[in-house]
Amino acid sequence: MGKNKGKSQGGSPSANTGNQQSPKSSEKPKQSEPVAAPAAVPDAPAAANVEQITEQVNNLHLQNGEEANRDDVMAARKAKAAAKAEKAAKAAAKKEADAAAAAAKAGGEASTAAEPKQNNEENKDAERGGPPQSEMSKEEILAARKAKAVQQRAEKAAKAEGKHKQDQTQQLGQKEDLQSKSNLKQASSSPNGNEKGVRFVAHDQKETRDSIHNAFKPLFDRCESGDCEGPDELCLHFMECARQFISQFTWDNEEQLGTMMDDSLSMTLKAITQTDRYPLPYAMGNVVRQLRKEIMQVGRNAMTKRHLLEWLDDSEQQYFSLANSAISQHLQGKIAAATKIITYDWCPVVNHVLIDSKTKGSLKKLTVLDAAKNGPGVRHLTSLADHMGYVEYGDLTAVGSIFERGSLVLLGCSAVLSSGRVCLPKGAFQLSLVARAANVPVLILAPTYKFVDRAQAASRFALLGKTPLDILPPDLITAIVTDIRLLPPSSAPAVLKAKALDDAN
Amino acid sequence: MELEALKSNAISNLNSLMKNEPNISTGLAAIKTLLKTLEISKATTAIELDAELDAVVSAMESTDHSSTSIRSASNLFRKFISLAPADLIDQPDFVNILNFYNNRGRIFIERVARSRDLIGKFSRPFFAHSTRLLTHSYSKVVLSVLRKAQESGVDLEVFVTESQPNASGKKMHEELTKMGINSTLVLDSAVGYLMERMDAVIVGAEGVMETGGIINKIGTLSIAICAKMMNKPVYVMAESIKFVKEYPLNQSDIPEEFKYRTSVRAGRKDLSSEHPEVDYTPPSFITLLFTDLGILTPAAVGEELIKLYT
Amino acid sequence: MAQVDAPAAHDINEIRTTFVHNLAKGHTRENSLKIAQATVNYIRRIIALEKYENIEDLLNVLRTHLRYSISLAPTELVVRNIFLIAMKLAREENMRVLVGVDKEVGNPYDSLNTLWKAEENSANASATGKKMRKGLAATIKEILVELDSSRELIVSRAVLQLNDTVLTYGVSSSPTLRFFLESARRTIKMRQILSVSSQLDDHSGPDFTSSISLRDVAAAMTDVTKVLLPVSVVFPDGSALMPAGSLSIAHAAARHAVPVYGLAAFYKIAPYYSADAASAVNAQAGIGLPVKLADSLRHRVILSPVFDVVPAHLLSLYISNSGAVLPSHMYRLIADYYHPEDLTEEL
Repeated sequence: MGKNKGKSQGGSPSANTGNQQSPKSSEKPKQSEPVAAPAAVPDAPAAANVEQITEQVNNLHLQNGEEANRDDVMAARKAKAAAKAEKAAKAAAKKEADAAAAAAKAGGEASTAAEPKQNNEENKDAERGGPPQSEMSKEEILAARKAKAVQQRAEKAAKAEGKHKQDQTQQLGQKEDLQSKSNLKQASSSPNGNEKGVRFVAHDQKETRDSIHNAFKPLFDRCESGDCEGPDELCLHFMECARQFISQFTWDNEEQLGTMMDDSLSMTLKAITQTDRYPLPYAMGNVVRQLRKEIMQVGRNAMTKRHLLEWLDDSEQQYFSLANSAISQHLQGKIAAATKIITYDWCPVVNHVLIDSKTKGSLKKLTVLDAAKNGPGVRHLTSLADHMGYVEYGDLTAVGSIFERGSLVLLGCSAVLSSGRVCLPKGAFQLSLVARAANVPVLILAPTYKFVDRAQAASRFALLGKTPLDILPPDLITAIVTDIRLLPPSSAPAVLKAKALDDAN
Repeated sequence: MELEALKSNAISNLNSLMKNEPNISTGLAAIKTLLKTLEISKATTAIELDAELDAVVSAMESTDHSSTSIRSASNLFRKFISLAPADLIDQPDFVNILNFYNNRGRIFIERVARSRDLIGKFSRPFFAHSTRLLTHSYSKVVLSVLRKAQESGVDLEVFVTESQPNASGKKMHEELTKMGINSTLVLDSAVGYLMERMDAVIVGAEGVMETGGIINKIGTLSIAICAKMMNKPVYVMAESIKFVKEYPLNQSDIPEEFKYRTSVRAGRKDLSSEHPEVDYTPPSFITLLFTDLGILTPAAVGEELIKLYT
Repeated sequence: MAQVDAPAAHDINEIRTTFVHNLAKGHTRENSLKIAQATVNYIRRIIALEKYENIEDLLNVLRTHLRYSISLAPTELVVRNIFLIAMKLAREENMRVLVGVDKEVGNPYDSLNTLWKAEENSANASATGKKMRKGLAATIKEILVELDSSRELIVSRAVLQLNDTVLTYGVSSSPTLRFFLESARRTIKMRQILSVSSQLDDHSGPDFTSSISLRDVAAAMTDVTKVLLPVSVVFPDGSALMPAGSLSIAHAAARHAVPVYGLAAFYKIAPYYSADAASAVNAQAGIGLPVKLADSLRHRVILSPVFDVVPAHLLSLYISNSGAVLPSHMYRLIADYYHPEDLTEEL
């Protein structure tokens, strides 16, 4: 609160009082330009008004040395009361602005646009009612009004600029912004500290969000709120959004359709990842790359949007449902021979395999571990609940006591690197170490789209900066189960080549 | 002359002991023979006694029974002689000393006879229900340990290797089946295939070396290496009289009298094409040794021997 | 003293009940030192109140009380150890009374060179209960002194060095470990002390440690130079019972060739093997699964082990009263505290 007050203190006194400050008034509004929140600016003048008016009233007495005219005093008092009323109204407006910010995602630019306007109007009113007319020179009043108008124009320009120059504004405290935004969503009644922060953030996110195509906005929001459970769900959602995007996108020139679509998509992606500050999961990179290749084809060789949509449907089937079925099929024999299946954390592919085995009756004992109790792994249990035989559940401290003769470990993954290393949820490394010491084979389930053409990942590899991941080296992996076949981890490059996922393509 | 008579006497004693008490350990039989020698000895000085015992030991080693066991047991027995209290040795009348040794010898034998029981007791907690064990060749100690476990109600599954060239594993398998233990006879070459299903490997030993490693029927080393690769524990059951004062550095460093039977060594000059009967398993492949002195880690064995010989 | 018959029996039973009740209370487990101290005090009351004529009687009395305690708290191995220590001291006291204070009590252990020594004390010879009582009371009380000093001795061992990054676990439940770290911090400037907490967001470690969760250990291990773990019980082969989760920490350390040290006071060294404690379950573990699953999953087990058995080959050294000991040599300390005849008994 204090910050902005200080900033616009420079602006308001020039508008309201002081002979000295009027020449500076034209400069001051420009200062407030880079300040992101227009809504914040009207705040301060309103607050300053009451005190300053009081001061002015008092000063008047002293300056002129006259005894206060009864009328004057009455007028001054009225002005004071009016200013106070304005302040109260301002507070109410602020609350409305919060609500508006919260509703901003619904695509309501209008409401936010209305908010600063509203505030400005109130501001004007406050100022009109402010200085006692009898003593303030007309000059000052005019100057005040001019300054205000300039200020508003500047703000509008800043807003417009801000939309296109999102990169520059993002430098400041990005993480906090995202944090507070997610706080806003998760806790509707946020403590006072957040109010200001949210307002500040709302504008930033709005700008980022504005450059994202409408079809992808739900995806972005989901990422922000941390609502995605893993790379698989994220990719599926992405494809869904892509479908919307393609259907909605129009361009007059048929030939340029592909290129324009690609451009828009790339801008959206830049916004989502905040220009690679929060990279997408590697596996999703594959999906995106394939999609963009296909998009570029649209408009040429008689390829139409319809073809593209069909391709999208096919790919989705191929990457997800067909791949999962193939993987499940490869594993049925091994699961039937195992006395116990052990898994860690949540993975939809593993879940699919478990449900299949349960249906076929080959799943005997199941152990699910999580990093901490009541974690994501519980979803496995809820989905298998009926008629499930023997089930164990525990956290990582139990890892020493779960391995018995004939067990099998099945793990899902985020990505398979070309060096044969695998990216998994943190904690899987330790599980695999103890499994190896107990001679229990460790199988990684990875549909081919998860194979990426990178040899290394940073050790603190993160999924959109949210989930920490472990990197499992090949000597701890018995096999990787893909939709094609079971492979040793060293065969990862072969898969890349076979599926044309490597960089050359 | 006398010595020769002594020698042939000893050999016949040893052979009859081994025949009449099939469960007796070679080492114990050797010690009993030595005690017999003490009892009938007419030596009048310590040096004479020494010479008699030397002769007897070399005679026993010339038989085809396990040289390793005979050597170790005899060494220990003879070491005991050098531990007679000082005031006793100075006595002019050697007969007193001889009586003293006889007494001590009897106590020693009685103690050694109990050793298998003690080993059984120590190893009992290591076998839980439906433990799968792999064992190699024929070992009396292992048999008694398994019998004890069986009698206390534990259900075991035992896999016995055939152990060529003399198929001694078959004998083991028969004995186990007689006891009512669930036993399976397997090929020597099937050990790698089976190892992942096992819970532990238990073997006897013909001799326990200063290194903490063991000399045992050929094939033991391969099983131990396999077990180590698959993180399975290897337990060795051996009485303390089998501790030998030898330090083999590798397989080639095993003393020849351990590797081949006496008859084989006597017959041929060139042993390079001869199959050795035993191999040496280094301590890094052994998890624990169960002896009548307690449960020892391989590192502890060397220390026991140091305590004895220094 | 001998006249106190019926009231004594009543008293001792009450004391026994209280002792076992405290053990099996179901609250958070007291730290091992407290349990050891409570056991010693319990034994002191037994010595004072029970009737016994000779050493055999006394040993039987002690064994009865021990069996009672074990059956109600089978996972408290420290109790067993203290009882066995007391039994050895009782035997020694017996010898002392019979033979005199001067003569050295020989090492009763079998080793190769003692294999054939005739037993010098025949089974019948024994001091009377009365004579033993006083000396024994004093001897047992000394155990308390040794218990107290054991923590200081361990804490004073210099193991950590300049610029070490130390990883530790279970600090909140092991005072010895905490004192060790605090003391080390005073004299050595270490780069960092990481404390592993088993909950994801539990920051209950002392202020001078940084908290990491168990799942992050594998990645953090690349920077760690030493791992320090608390020990509940050490078995004769050098393997140890440690808080659940230690096994995966030890494996991660082995993979990165980081030495692992265990802090084990003398009363934690067990002369026997026990599978009981390894299967102990933490009854205070808290909610494992959502309640709504209760109906659908018929045979479900929530795993909450208390201990992990960490094999000897994953541990580098034990820090004990008598110094830093190799795991494969821990068995040697057994001879200092336990008598072999107590060990061959089926407990």
